[in-house]
Amino acid sequence: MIAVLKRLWKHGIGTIPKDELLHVNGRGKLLLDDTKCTACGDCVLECPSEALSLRRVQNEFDFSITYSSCISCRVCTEVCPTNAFSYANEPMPSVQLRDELVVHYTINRDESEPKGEIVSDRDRREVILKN
Amino acid sequence: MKISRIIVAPHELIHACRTVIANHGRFITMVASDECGREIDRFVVRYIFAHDGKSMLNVVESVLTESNCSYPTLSSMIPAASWAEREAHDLFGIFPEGHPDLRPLVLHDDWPEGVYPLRKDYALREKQERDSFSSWSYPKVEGEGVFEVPVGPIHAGVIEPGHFRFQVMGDSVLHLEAKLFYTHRGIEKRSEGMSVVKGLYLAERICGVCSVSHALSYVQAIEQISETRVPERAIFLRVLFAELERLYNHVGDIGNMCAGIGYAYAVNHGAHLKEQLMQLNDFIVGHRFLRGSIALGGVTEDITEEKLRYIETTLERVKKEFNEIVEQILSHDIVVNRFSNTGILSERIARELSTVGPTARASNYDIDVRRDLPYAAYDQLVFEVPTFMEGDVMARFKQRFLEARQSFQIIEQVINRTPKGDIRVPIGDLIPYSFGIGMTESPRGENVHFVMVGENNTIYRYRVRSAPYANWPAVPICVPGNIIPDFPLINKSFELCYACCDR
Amino acid sequence: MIHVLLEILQVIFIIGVSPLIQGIVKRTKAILQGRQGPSVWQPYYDLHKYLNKDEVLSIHASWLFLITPYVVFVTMIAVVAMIPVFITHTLLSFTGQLMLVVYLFGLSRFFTALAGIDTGSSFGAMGSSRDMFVSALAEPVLFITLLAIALPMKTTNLTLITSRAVTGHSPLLSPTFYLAFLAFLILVITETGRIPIDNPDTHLELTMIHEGMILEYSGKRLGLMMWSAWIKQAIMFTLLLDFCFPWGISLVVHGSMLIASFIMVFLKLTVIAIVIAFVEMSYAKIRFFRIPRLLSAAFALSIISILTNFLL
Repeated sequence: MIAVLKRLWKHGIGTIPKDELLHVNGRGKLLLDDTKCTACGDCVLECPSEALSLRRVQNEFDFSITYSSCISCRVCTEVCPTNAFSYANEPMPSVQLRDELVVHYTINRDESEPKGEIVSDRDRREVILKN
Repeated sequence: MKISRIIVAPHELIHACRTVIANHGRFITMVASDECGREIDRFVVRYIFAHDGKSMLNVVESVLTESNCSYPTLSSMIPAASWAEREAHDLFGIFPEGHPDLRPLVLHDDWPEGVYPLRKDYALREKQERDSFSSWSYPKVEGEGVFEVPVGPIHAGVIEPGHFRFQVMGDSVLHLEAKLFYTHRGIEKRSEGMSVVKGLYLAERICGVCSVSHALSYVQAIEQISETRVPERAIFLRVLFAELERLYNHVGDIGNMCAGIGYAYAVNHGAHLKEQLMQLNDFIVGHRFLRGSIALGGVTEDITEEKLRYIETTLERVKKEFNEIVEQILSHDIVVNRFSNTGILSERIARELSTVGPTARASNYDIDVRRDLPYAAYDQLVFEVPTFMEGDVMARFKQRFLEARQSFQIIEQVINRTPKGDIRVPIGDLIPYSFGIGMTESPRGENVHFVMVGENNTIYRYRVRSAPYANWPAVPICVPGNIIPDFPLINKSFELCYACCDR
Repeated sequence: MIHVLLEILQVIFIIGVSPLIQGIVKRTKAILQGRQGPSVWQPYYDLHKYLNKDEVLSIHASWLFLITPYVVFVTMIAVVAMIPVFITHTLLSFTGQLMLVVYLFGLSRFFTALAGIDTGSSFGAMGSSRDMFVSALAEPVLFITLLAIALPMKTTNLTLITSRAVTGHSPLLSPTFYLAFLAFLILVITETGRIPIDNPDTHLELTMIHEGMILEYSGKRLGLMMWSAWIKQAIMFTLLLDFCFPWGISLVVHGSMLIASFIMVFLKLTVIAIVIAFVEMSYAKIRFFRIPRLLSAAFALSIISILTNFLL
């Protein structure tokens, strides 16, 4: 009993101040450098949580990251041939609506051969590749 | 690590394995695989043995044809092979002749007969109609006053699923039968055809709390195939991550073991310390479980000098508190009374079942991959491997404490000795149909990953023998003779994952 | 008239304040563990939640399972009606009251144990069998201990015991008091199902005693079972106060005296709750088969207490 009290006296109650609640560092927010991206689609194919998608819109590509699905696993960073992904030093965003968590990038690569549409989402597990 | 292969005909398996054991080979696991894709007819079984201290593995291989896929069992010679052979029987339909207990293990009794999911001709997403009428058979104790207590797979607390049948007389346990493998996630099947890069992320997620160890085993297997030389700085950082993982596990487990006896005070202080260590992990690599820190050919992130100093100061503080807490726990007479002589695992059984990790060492079975088959930078570091004679809960408790103390020391050495330089090299292309075996010492014991690559740098066959897989068979053996209220304590003292065993 | 009103108020006070006592115990435990813990009002919220929740009943449950919570709850109220809290008068008062208290506890326990077996769940049966094992040992010890306390007062009427304790000279001078107090403290812990005998916070179904028996209850009935357990705890604490620290309990009905005794009782209950939390935090659960030793220690203490009463 004395030891219990002694410890309490010495270390107090382990509390987190209110303003630090839910403050998790984590890996940070996933960012895409759209100048580097070649729209090859490797990351979309490998992403385990269907957080990435790539769609062809006329002559451009629309690349999107869904933050609510991202698990910060780093697969995209690993497979990217041009190292276009990075983690920003800010927490992964969180809002109430799922749609608000999607960030779109427009990629316009003249030199890259457009592969078509690569979509990987929950409803369609198969990846569509068409020329 | 060197791998020497011995290829024999099925009927010569026993003889070959006996020779390897006579040469001090330690049985690790058995890997079966369906290799019809590379013009082999059709199954291959590989018994893996380690030669401790020589940094060498022996693989005894044999090809079984599809028409006659039976082979003489080794379980009567090596009891530890029993589970692996049963598993191969369930998943591949290859038949170990003379096996003493061929009840289903990985697939439960409701799985239809004659369907073998790990064969290559079984599609990944194929579904099976379950036969809900078949029931589980297990040995029963009969007599007056003998009752049966079924527990699980859903428990009152939020823990993993496992089913236990206690045959009891009053509160004393006469026999315990455990049924695991409720959380089969099909990791092995899923990995087939996956690129080796993505496979790493699958390996990391095999277990919640041994991520680094699993990832490290996996990358070591791949690096073995590609013969990559990992840069010096990277191997030191790998040790750092592996030890940080061991530390938060051991510190957390020490607190958690006290939950088995209702000593809430120690539980919460242990949790408090564990939380500090996990926040440290989050700070240094951005993940509380250290996921995403290990990469093929090195590590993903460099740890700056400033972060190393931060680790040093944090650990200094945690170490002091940790010592205080353990001292307080061990000076508590009720704790000592409940821990001592509870759940004794004898040295003989520990050896016969090839148990691993702190469990084995607490029963005086002195094995540690870090010392015996050194990987990463462990051969350049100075550390001791503590052992205990008793094999009871108290021994396992003290074992974890002493190992955590060694981890503090190892991390200290790493911080002071990490050389400058690259942290990563590319791994290059892999030769199709070659295999590698990665072994690391996780907080629960050795994790063994067998990876065979296919064409285009994909995985062809992946088998994981996690530490809990080796240790689970020992748990039901230690329980009889104790009373039911002691079972949670005994179970916690082993601190085995269910999921990482079930895969 | 005023007497009866106060006596009823006494009953309502114990029933109403019992969750708060539980809250104080829990909060103190949390603080001692280095946590902030839930607010002391949490048991009230819990109770509110349970009483408004739907129930899930086992298909094997018979009428026994259904009526047990009411039986237990009513039994506890009956006991509350017999113990003095802040005035010495009680709703029910007669010679031999002390015996009835012990056996009313026995009744509630009997029903709880049967309900534990009734659903056919292995944990319920395990809890019942263990509880019977513990209570078979605890009941005679409780009896002897109460006797040790009643003996110097020369009555088994609780009203008289308390009023004699208040008016008599300080019991702190007699060794009888200390011995009986220690024995009673062990019994309070046993009866309230606290560490080192039982762990009220456990989620390990294999180690449960009291929690095991009520594991199959849900919703309203679980609420009643929990509330009864808290009331029992409050009763045990009050009995301990009545016998050992009766200061401040008013003998007469007088405005300011009443307020003073009311505050005193409340403070004393809080102190007891904190002390119990301390005891719980400094111990772990003892081995199940060691419980008899602890109880035999209590038995020995009360026997010595009775002897010293005759010798000194």
